[in-house]
Amino acid sequence: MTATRDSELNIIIAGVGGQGNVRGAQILGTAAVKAGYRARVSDVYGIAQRGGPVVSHVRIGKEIYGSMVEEHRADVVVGLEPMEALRATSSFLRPGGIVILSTRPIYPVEVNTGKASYPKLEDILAVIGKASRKIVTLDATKVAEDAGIPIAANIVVLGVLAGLGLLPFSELVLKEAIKESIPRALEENLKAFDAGFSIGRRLKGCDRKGD
Amino acid sequence: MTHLIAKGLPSEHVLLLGNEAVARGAVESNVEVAASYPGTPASEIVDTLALVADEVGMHVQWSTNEMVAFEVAVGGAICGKRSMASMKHIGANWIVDPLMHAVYHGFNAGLLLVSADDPSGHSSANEQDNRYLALMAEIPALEPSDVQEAKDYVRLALEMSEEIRLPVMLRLVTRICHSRGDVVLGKVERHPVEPKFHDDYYSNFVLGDGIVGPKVIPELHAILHEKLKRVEEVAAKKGLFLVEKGLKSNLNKVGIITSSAPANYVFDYLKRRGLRGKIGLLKLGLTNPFPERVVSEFAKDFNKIIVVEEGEPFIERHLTALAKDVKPSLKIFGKLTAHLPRTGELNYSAVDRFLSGILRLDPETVPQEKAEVMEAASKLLTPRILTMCAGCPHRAAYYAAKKATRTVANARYIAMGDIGCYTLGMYPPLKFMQDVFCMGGSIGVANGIAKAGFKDPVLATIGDSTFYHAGIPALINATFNQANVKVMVLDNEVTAMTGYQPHPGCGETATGKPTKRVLIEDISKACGIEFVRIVDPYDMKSSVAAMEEALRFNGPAVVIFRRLCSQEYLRRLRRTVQRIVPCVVVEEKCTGCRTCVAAFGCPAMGFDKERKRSFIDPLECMGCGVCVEVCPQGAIAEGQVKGGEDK
Repeated sequence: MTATRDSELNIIIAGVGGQGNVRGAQILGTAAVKAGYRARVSDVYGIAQRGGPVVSHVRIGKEIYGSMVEEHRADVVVGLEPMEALRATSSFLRPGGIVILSTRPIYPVEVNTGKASYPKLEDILAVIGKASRKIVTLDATKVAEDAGIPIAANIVVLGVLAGLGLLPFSELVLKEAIKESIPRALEENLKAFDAGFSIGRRLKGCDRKGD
Repeated sequence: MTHLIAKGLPSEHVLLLGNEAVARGAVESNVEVAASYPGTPASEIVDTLALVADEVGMHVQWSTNEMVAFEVAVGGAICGKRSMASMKHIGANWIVDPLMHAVYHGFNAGLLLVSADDPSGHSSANEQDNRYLALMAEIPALEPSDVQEAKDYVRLALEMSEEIRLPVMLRLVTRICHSRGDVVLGKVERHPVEPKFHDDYYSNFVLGDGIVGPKVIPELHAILHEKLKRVEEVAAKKGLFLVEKGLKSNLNKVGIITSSAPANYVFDYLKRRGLRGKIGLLKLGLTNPFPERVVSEFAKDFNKIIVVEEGEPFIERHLTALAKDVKPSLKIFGKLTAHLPRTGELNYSAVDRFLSGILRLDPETVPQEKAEVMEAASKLLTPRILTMCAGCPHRAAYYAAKKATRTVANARYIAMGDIGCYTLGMYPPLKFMQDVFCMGGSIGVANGIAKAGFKDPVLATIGDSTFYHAGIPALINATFNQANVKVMVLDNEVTAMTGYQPHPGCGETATGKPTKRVLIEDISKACGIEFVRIVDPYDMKSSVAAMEEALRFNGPAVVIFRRLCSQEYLRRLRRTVQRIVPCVVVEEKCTGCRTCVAAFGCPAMGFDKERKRSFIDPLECMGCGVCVEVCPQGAIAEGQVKGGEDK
């Protein structure tokens, strides 16, 4: 299997409530089942509809059971928000795993009220770099905006995942899953996916030296 | 997903959410009545069923509360229709009274109680293991361990309910309800049952029990015990026990007993360590009544048994008691022996440490490079405390109420919160309520506080759905016993926190059919409250004035803050061509006083430290304009909703 050990692929999608990582994870899982794999998807979040951290766990393989990725076992961490990408990397990324990070921050209330400060992007990337083999950064919201649907950052990063060649099935299966799961603005969503796919494809194989 | 739940074909392989799988199980096995009150992690069961109710011919409802939901299901089952009531673990506390009656009562069809427990209390105020409710009520408790079983066990539970003639509990946990997994669908069998009702109370006990005529309570209780004796045998026939004997030479003669979601961590562990099939394994799909024969038969071959379970040490306690009779030398490891954490949701790492410790294998450790990353990351990360959404009408209501307490009561007051999104009003920067209790507890507890002898006003803040659910008796009590409680009803016209379900005030049922609205103001007046006001929380001046008046009023008062939930508003807006025009900070007028971010705290607002000016994120802002009134400098230009007709 691609990017994995133990013939299983473990992905974490981290973000803030309202960013759509739950839907993104659902689409990944649906595609995996379509491609003949077992899939387990689990979302860990708090009580609010928006604003809290949300971590979606996706496991794909032929023989998998638990629905949560174990600590330090994620092959890929997808962060829809920089600080959440760091939080998830810290808890879940396996040494030498891959991180896809969307650079647009969503500030916690504590930062907005001036009680805490938001870390600098370069500091976040420096720490993530210590654990990862490869970091792909992009402003997924901007890419989605350009596709005509600013809320589709979650779909953009799915495209990046597929474009990087990290999934054990074709992007066409993923697009099928998107068609089934997205109730509105399908065309814009597919455009957002394609834009992400191109970004991933361009960066495929550009691993950091020494890994 | 609608088509899958109703139309998915047998042997089709699909990805379903655990709660969707339960819904599909209900559709497949001819459940005709499904009732619930929204509560995480159970809500999506009836959310899903509501979508397909008409298509498959099922009565599906959101009830006023869990007790009513369970009673609705009882009504269905008495009339011969397979029925189910689903709820979160705490919600099941409301059904204890009807449940304790149901176990003595006969039914003409299967009656299923779905209890969704929430270990770690991800979305709950407690951890509560409802297997103990099954133990107290003396009903079978089935525990699926994955999404496939969540679907399949619905049918098995209903069949068992009919065979044993008792209500059956399907005990789920968050990690099953809110996990998605691949599921092979079964056949959908829908055949409407002709309703029937018995002639008199006593004849009902004849239903399948072979008992005629009046019985005294101990006799009914004895019948219940006779029924329970058959449960294990029925469960075994239905394949609810997975038994793997392991190799004779197995490591230290150790066996594992597990159930529910943690079974998966055990499976993953055994696979990774190459131990599957070598070590003894018993997965229990039935935990109450405790399957003594299956467990005794399994345990006798081992010197040590490891119990991996979530919640209370339910299996472990039963096993400990059982071992005294069947194998006194048996060593049992689990929560009681402090090998497994006693509280909180389990995860793979905890199970890995536990099993590796007993099996004398090396547990997984944190890789060195990760330890360094975790250390460095911890210095950069700040927690993301929960907050109400941008444009949330509750924030505006609390802000107005706080202003009113400053003018009328020198900012001194006691406020009890309740259960809903509005509980977040306890957190900074608003910090409006000092305390929170259970569903409806705001008004109930405030009734007591109001009698304690404080001079400061006593407030209760309660949401609309919670008001219908549990607030009304306490409000009547405030009139009855003249408790001077000022009740703020935060009416966002939907059950927001659990996913925007309708409630009795919405004018729409679970399946989207129009119905008569039951209005909070009418109820309040009927409860004897003489001061009842309705305000729009986006209208700051009127909101402050209404609260000031309520605080000055001598006697219990109700102020209803009515405005649609901002997220539900956005959801509806997305179906139209209308677009939001966000509010904007006028830079020249902003003095950097920070009132907006420090006192109001809308997540769409931020403060630029370098330029010493507030700003509004145009993607987050929903244009409610409340901040326009909050800003003391008049530096915020109002947003709006622009656009044409509905699509």
